[in-house]
Amino acid sequence: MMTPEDGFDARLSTAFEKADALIEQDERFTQRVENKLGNALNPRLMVVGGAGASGSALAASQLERLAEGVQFNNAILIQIFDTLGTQSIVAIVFALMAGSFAAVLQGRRI
Amino acid sequence: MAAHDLELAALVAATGDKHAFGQLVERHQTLVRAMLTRITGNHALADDLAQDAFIKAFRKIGTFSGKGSFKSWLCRIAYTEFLQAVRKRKAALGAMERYKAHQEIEHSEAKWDSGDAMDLDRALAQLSEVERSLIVLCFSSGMSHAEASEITGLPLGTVKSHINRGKAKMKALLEEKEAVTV
Repeated sequence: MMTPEDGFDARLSTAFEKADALIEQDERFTQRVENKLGNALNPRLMVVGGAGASGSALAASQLERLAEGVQFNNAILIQIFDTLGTQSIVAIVFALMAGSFAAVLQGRRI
Repeated sequence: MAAHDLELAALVAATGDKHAFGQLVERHQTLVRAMLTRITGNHALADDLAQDAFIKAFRKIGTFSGKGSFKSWLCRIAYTEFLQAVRKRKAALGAMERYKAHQEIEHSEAKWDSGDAMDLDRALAQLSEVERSLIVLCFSSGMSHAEASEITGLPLGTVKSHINRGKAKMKALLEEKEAVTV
């Protein structure tokens, strides 16, 4: 049996249904959200990115010292080392680290 | 066949696909915008909050476990956006209060009709913030009392009490209006 409360519930639901029907689908709204997603800079991503980049820079600054103390037995490695020089090798290692870091961040939503 | 919400959400979580998320926005934008419009009583503010809610949903989509409905998860984010806006933006709150005051002094000769959005908003403006939010979540967004409890973080019993009180107030207001206009 339908109670007076049920009757008012139904009336209220109908009222909302009709009022909400006035709010139409807005394609521009979807577009605006999609555009904002492209531009949105996640503050956490920036903090983590900044910390990671600083860590990479610190690590790379120690690489040159480490590389200078290394003695290679392999002739190919010795040749590469002599041709490129310590600084170039450190730069390459640093670029690889930064590239890997960027690749990981790109695929992750933090 | 259109992809299910869960499939799209999983795709967005895995790949960050903005166009897949765009489909979710397209699908749920009227629900979120309507909910926030009824709660705030202000279309422009509601659209701004809805936009922020969708952006937040995109960033947090990895936390959507898929246990409840995507709709309910999204409404929770939108409701949190509303609460944060009320707390943080004094200007927004001021605008809401001004709107509410305007509603209170405005008189209409038209008999209350269930299809009249203005009258519905006018009656909603008389409710407390919590009562209004819960009535909107249950009657506009189609949430169950349990879902409304989860969204607002209020105990189920409290949710039911607020809804009953809100409904009673609305019923009295609408009947009073009808009596005046007859």
